[in-house]
Amino acid sequence: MKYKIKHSTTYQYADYVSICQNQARLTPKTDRGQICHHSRIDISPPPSYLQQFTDYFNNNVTVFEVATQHKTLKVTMTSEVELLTDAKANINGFDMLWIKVRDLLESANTMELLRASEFVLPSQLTPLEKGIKEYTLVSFAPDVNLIEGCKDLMARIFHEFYYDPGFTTISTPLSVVFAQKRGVCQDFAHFALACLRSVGLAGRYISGYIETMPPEGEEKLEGADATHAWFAVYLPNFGWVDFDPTNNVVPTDQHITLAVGRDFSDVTPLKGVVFGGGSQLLDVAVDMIRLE
Amino acid sequence: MYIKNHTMSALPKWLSLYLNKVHVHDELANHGGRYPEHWDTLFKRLGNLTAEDLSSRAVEISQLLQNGNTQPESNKRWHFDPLPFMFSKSEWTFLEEGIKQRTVLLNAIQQDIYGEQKLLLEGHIPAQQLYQNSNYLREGFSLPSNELKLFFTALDIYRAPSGEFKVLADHCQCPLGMGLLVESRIIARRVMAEEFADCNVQQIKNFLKIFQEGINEYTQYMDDPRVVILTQGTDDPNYNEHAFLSVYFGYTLVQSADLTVRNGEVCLKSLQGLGKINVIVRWVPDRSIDSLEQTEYSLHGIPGLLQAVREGAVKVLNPFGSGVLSSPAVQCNLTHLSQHILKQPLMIAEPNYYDVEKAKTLDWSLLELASYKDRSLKLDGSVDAEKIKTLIRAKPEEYYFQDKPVFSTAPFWDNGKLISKPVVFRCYALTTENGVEILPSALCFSNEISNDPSVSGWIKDTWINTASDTELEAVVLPPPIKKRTDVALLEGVISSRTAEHLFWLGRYLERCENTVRILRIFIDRYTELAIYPDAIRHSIVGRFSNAIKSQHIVYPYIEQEPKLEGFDPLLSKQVAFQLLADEQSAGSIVNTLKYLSNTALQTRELLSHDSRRMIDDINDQVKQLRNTTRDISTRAMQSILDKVIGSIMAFNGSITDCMPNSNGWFLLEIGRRIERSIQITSLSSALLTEEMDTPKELGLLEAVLSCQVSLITHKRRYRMYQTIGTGLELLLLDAEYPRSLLFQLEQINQLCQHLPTKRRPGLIAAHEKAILLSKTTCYLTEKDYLQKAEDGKRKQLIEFSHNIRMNLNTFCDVLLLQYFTHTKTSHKLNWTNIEQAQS
Repeated sequence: MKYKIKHSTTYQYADYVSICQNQARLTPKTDRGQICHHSRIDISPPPSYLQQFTDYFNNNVTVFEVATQHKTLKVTMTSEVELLTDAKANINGFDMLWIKVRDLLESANTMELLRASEFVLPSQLTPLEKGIKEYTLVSFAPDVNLIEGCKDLMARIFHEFYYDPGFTTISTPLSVVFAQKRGVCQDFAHFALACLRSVGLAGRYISGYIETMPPEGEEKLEGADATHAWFAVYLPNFGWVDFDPTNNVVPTDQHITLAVGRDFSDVTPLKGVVFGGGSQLLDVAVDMIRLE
Repeated sequence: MYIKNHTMSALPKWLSLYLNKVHVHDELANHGGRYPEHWDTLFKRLGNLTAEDLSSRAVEISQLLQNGNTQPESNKRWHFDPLPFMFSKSEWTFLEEGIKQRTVLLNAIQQDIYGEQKLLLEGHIPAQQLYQNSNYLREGFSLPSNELKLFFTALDIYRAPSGEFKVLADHCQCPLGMGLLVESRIIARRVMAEEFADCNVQQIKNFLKIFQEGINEYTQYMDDPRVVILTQGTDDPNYNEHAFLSVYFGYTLVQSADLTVRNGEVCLKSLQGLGKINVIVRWVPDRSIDSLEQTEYSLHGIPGLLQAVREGAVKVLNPFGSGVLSSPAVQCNLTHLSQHILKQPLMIAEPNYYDVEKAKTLDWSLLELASYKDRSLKLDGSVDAEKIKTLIRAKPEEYYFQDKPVFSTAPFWDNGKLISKPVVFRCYALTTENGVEILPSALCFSNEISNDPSVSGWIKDTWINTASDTELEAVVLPPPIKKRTDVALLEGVISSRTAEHLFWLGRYLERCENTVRILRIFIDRYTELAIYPDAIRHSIVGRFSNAIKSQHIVYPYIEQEPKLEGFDPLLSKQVAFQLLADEQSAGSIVNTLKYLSNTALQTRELLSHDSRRMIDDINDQVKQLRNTTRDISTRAMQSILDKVIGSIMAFNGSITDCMPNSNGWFLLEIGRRIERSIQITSLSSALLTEEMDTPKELGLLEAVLSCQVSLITHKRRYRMYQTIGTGLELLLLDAEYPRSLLFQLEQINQLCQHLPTKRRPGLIAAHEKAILLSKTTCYLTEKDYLQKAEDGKRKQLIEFSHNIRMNLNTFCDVLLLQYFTHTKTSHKLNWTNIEQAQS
């Protein structure tokens, strides 16, 4: 499965911005589940400086500076990504008891396990709140396989939590999301991560895109797709397995990964420091077009 | 025991008194007995001194110690002791080896943590604990590996009762106190020159030289290298030390806001524009040094800095990531790591650690509880036993026990006698290409209340014996020619922020001087009125008092016409008091002095030692003024004014010859002239615009001329007849008279030539236009025109003053915009609204 993605972020300021420094995590990763064949970043006004580097979590980071005075900044990332659905789907035979996974992570004796064990720790946005462990153990009885448990947890979040775009912001604490059982994909991913970590499993946050389908009989609108977030769990001898609690699916051929990290703050798609500008308006448009 | 080797009668009384007290773990009385020779040499010299002699030395020292004044607002001071601490050659050799070993070990650990992580994989360092530590810098992994090496480190050492040395803490991030150490050494050498020579004290010069060479190493192939010292600013309790080091090494002192990243390079915002920086010696923690890349947002961050480091465009010292070495994950395992990595036992170890399970069988009164997560947590095993029990019951894995450190004591001079205080030694190490260098001295400090050395306490210089004189002659190769030019090139680089502070320093100095003069003359006139209460005097003092109260002739120099109020001579003293010491009134002398001292503090690295002493005096006067009450006598006010003007004059004198124009000196002068111009115009428009009977008018003119120290000149020049017109001519229009408005404008015009300009030749800049316009107005105006009154008002004078004021304001605005624009603030945006996402 191959997709073409166009992701535009437009910023409009009330006053002129004299200079801005930015970091973008907008180039899709190439890993076992996908290949980024091509990507291009267009910035207007054109940047005076542009470089790339790879961060701690192996994400592609674009650093750029716009030194031209401007009131509008537009960053457009175009990329072509091929999803390797086989690699993702074939977890049969790799599954193991979640308790075994937990124990392996606790006494990590390979580099891979050691690296994964870092994702067992609570992070800034996924603190270990009261009651989360109890909530999680409902899905993880001692004789449950890791994948089975994760699927159950995902399904419970999907059914018990209400998708409510107006309810949370980036700074809404996890405890509120848990208490009110409301939020958006980001909150569900964070909550699921807090759950996994509370019982000693390694979970990571994924930012990316999901393909959307127009209602039957209607044409797909331009810019109607969206950035998305879900989580992955570490399965020894296999790697990371994705789960999307917002849609209650194990992603196979509709999810494209941009970046991974402990939580949202590690993967912020676009951030910047601006001088001047005053108040600002933001517009994000994503198109995800199936190529074959 | 030291005492056993000595006959008490041979020792001075103040020393035998100390030794006769009961000591159990004292550096001199108990541990001094093992190697008494070096203490003997010291006391042989000091033996001739009486207690009074020592006290007077202590006083001399406290006057010399600059770093002692941390912040003008706080009372914290370092007490620097007149007795040095002595280490014998053999003790020091051991310590030196131990520190070297530990530094090598820490460096190896750091390399592994930010590299292969074998130590984590093999379980020598608990990975989970390390990953949780906020000083584990994930950004470090994308930086070149030489950006993660140790450079300048420090460690705190104490002596346990057994005589063994132990480590209290490692400081690998921003090791503090070296400036204080250097300064105390300079003072010690001055106050104790003879003892210093007798004791064959090892010099620290060579270490400082290597330190500087270590910094310059990165710039040796550059044409115009720039090194800056980065401080968090005057809010940082250690700002004085940063300023001291910047002066000592000759590097520009900057704050984060002075630096900006352009095209992947770090630049200093200077008067001359943006200048590339090559090396940053930082005193800002690495966790919040880049407000773009790092999640921990800080005002002290420089957005884009890490990318510049990543690309090798700038070198930052200390390099990144070393904070993690102080984490319990590393510290608790050092003894083991030494065996594993170096195959040697650790020479200087930290106190023993015990996990919670093991500690259950131990005597808690000798232990304290610490946390893997919260470094600030320390609970005493006996005092806080109950609290500890609750904590470890809830989360045993988060805590560990360690031996309570028992510090040795050392004698300190306090009020005419020796008292004993617990001491810790902070030692410094430098990791270079050629190995580890140790500073042959230590900051010996005592802080009984808290172990945190950033809180002021008592300090001593530490003297290390050399075996022979020949060691003083260290072989030093002449520096390569390139290096010698570095410092010369640095001169002239001044940040826009410092430039702006110099401008304001000039303004406050002049404002202060002027306000003092106005107040003196006001006091003079109202006391005279009390003796000769006639109508003319009454009217003059009344107008004067009104102009002060309504802030027409003092800051903020309000322009609107004064309201005529009734005047009660009995309230004159209240008006005078308010102008002197009322912190509610903006232009009072106490406030102006406060601003003055704060501004001077911001530029202190440019000031000479003497000028900084004057600032201390000014701070003392601020304190005194704050304590004065309304019932202060006129006489006492006058005496305070004498002192204030004395300090201001002394400060002026001390800076006149010391600051070259390339360091922005002309900005101070511009500030001064601007302030004076404003004063002259506001004095004449507030007091001379009303037409009155000649005696009243001339009385007021006399007061105005006195305020501008121009009375005698006026009398001499206009012997035959004096009018408001002649006064205005002298004060405003005479281009040759040094106190006139026009003279100030001419001076400003000339000083502006020092400002870098980007104009094409033949065109003049906006600020020059404003001055030119004012100058021309003065040249074209006649005194009779200004003197002319209509309906009792000198409208032309009012208009003239107003126009000049407007032009001066324009001038200041342009200066701010063109040269001091660092004030523009940035803000951080996380530009993703994930809420838009759909399911």
